[in-house]
Amino acid sequence: MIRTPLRFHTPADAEEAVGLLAEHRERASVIGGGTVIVPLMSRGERAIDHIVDLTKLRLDRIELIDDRVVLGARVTYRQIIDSAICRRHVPLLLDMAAGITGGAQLRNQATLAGSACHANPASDAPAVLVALDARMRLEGPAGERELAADDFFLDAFTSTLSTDELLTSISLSCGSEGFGYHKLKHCTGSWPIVTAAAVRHDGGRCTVTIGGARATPLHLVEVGDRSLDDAVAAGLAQPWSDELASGEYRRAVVGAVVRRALAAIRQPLR
Amino acid sequence: MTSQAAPDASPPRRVRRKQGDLVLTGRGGYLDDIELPGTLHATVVRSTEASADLLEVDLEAARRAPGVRWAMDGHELAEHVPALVPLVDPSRFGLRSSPTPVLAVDRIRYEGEPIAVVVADTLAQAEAAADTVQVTYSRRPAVLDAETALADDAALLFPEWKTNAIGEIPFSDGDPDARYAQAPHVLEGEMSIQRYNAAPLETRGYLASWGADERLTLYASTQNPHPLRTQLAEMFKLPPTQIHVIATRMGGGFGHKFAGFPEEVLVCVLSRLVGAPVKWIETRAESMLVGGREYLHRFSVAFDDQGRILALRDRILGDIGALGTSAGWGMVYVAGMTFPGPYLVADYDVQAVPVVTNKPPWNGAIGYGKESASLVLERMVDMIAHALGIDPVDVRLTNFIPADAFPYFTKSKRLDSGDYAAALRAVLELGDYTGLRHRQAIAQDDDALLGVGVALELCPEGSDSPGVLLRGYDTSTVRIDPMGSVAVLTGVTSPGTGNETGIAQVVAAELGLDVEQVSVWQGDTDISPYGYGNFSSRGMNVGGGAAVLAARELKTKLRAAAAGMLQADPESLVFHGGRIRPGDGDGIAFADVVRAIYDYSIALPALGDPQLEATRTYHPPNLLHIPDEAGRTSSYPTFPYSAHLALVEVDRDTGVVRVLEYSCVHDCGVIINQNFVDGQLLGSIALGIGGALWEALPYTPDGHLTARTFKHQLLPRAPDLPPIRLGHQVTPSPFTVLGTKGAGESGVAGAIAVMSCAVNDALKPLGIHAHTMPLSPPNVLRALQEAGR
Repeated sequence: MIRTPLRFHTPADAEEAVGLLAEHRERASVIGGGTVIVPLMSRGERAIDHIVDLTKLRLDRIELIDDRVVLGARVTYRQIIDSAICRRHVPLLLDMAAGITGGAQLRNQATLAGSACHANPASDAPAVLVALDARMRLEGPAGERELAADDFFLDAFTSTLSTDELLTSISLSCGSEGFGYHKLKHCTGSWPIVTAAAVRHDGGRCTVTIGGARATPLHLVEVGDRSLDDAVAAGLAQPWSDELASGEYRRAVVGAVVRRALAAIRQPLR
Repeated sequence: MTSQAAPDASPPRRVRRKQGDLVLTGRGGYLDDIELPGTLHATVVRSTEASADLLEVDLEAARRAPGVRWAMDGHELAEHVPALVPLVDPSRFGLRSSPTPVLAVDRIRYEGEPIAVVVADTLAQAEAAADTVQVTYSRRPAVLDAETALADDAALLFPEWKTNAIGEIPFSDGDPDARYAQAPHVLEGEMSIQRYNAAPLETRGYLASWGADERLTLYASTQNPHPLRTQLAEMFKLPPTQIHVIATRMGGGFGHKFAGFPEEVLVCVLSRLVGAPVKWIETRAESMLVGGREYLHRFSVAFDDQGRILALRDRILGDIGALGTSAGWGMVYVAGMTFPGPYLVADYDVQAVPVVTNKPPWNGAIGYGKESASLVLERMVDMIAHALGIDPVDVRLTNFIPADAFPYFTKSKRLDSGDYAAALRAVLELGDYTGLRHRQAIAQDDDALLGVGVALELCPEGSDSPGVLLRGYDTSTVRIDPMGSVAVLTGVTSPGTGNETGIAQVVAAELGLDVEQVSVWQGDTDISPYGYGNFSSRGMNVGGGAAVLAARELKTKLRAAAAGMLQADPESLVFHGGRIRPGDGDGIAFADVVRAIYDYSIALPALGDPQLEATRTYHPPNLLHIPDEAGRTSSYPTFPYSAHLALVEVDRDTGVVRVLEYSCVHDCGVIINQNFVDGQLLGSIALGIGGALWEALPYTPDGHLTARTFKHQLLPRAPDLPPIRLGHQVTPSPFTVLGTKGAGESGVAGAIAVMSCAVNDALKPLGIHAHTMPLSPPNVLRALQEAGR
């Protein structure tokens, strides 16, 4: 049960939203689909007094702008799955969205940007965003700033987003020649344990971004069979552990997950 | 005693559930849907320490918090009620026990132990206030597993016991030492089973209200409304008639809702103090505190060159958590009692040892210990097959109790009837055993690890334990109103399985009526006869059995009256289609006979006396509590069983197990309604697969539970399960009124066992086994790593 009396704000524009966040700081939260924040509040694990809803800011569109796919912060997994733009230009994202656990109810409500802001290591979004060279557009008191997804995820459940900032949109690169995604989990209801998003670029160069294996995504460039194991070992000095799997387990399976993602690489439908 | 004459028409086997449409469309209504005017909401403050002295509970801030009506600790509560009254007290079995306060007073024995309670206008206010309660502890050493708890220097939960074992419960027969000494082969093994529980969709909940007449009404999502009333009457020193317990429609019980919880009492105390109804609903995280099923088995088996079991031994440590006041610890007893399962083994030595530790107490969890025995027995048989290089099916066929040996008496149970070999053969046919072995061989060429498992589960049902608040017999009343419709009032309740429909069916069949003409009333202590609710898959056997006996009593009376009205031979009359007919004649409407008795009895002596209500108390006769001359007893009257066949794939790189094929042939004796039997069986198999592969409630070394949501405790979802093929075999119980044996629980144990057998079959070529449950990816990968892959 949510213990605190809540004030529900629907600011008219980003400036007003930032103003609310700046005023209430950690006692306020932006709400997207609410699929993370509401259960946290219900269980008493997060106490806030102000909900900032971004409906009036729109932010619910998927557009192709200058060779990048731009998703507003309120875009749901369902919109991604149904989007012709995503299907054509970032099929990796579509693959990921279709595999999100929770069924239609969750996919209709939960947002990609919300998942990014939650920054749970055991989730699909962070590594896929890094794999797609995502750029995160933030709005704060000093105006807009944009940064790479790789710089956005700082630690487990921690992003660079400060308490007076909000994520307004995410733009993705769509230049890949092929992609493969593999997600390892215990069973349907499980969080992802380790994910790997493989992307083949012009000239056959491959990158792999590993999720779930450490606090933040591990992005590997120029992967070949030999270099892979070394790079993984170097990158996973401190593997992620949670209720479902130890770091030791994650380290043991990550090679297989990466190889499966690479083996799954296929051409995007153009 | 053999079963009596069959009713004039066999009951239809696929009748739809009474009120099923309400349940299916979410309009059925459960405990939390009941909101009496002015209802207040309670929340429990729980210990954050596993083992400590409780120094101080500061409720000042909570008492001043908005909306709070009352907040109290264990000292204040003890002024109102004494210690909890146990449902199944170990001391009644000659084992160790100790009083448990409703709220902790000076000693904390587990994380989550109730320390204080807050009641407020809203649940949000109660929870917010509970967050402000300051508790001061002085930490003590904790013991967190059964083996450590039995070490000489272990910290004791109850120092007066001088041990952490509740007792050592022996189940032994013959001369195993002699058999071992001469046996050509002996194998040893160890299996550990994780702590996990039943996870009903509807958690526990209670709503108490005191009337102006000082009468207590308690709405409860409980499996045992009458025993709960008895417990409350003892604690509040009230005549039971001053207490009205209403067991609401239940969204699953599975043992999780056996009576005997502190919150049942807390809402009653608080409601009386504040003068308003008080509700408490268990949160999902709280429901995960209730444990079950954590065992360590150290076993051995002696066998000959043909794979015949000569003797077996098992020492079972059951880590029951802190001592509870419900029925959890009894699962360790049943784990031992179930040996040697479906196998003909005359010489065995099984010791069942329930051990207390600093984790929350167990409550019942479907399977109730039988799944633990089944798992170990089936692995034993597979290990024999592996050692001798013979098919696991053949080892089972060699060792089964033969079909012509029933009723078959072992030391602690008299098995009613069965044909285990036929069930196993039927499942091999149903699931194409040969085809599965073929697929396995082909996969081996591709370096994939496929495993085939077979298992036969014996599932004792209908438990009866003299001396405790939960007995195996039950009572039903059948009442016919002047319009000719029938009400059955019964002491058994439904956990959501639909036994009310089954009971209506058998009564309708006796009286030749349509099921719609029979209503069933359960769970209300003001309406139903005193009874024991639901557990041990006994609803149809005893509630249905008692109702049939009562219906037969009325039928005799109606037959005589109808014979008088029709001038016919009573023996020639049949009850069918709502009429009472002489042979092929048209006869007279059932309702007309009833109406004639109401309106004209006494005046017309041929109609007999006007009593159209009968009550019968029934216990299945296959029980033996006082040992016979051979020292044998039987505390279970019926023994359903099921044969399972599964194909799994083990991912050698990740340890992930996928279930590819599943078949089961089940025998619960006579089937009253196959819809319900199939539904229960499918659910049980899903529960078994989930428990074998994923579900777990793990603890940190300092006694903190890491699972708080269903993202931590993983239950199977539809995509995790293959299509499940079901078959049925019917060997009626020669003892029960209806020939039924009980359905509901059976299937869980077989599913757990067959998963273990299949996974270990897949690992066999690598020369390894996985005996640490669950067979989760990390546990399976650990086993694979031992093999060096």
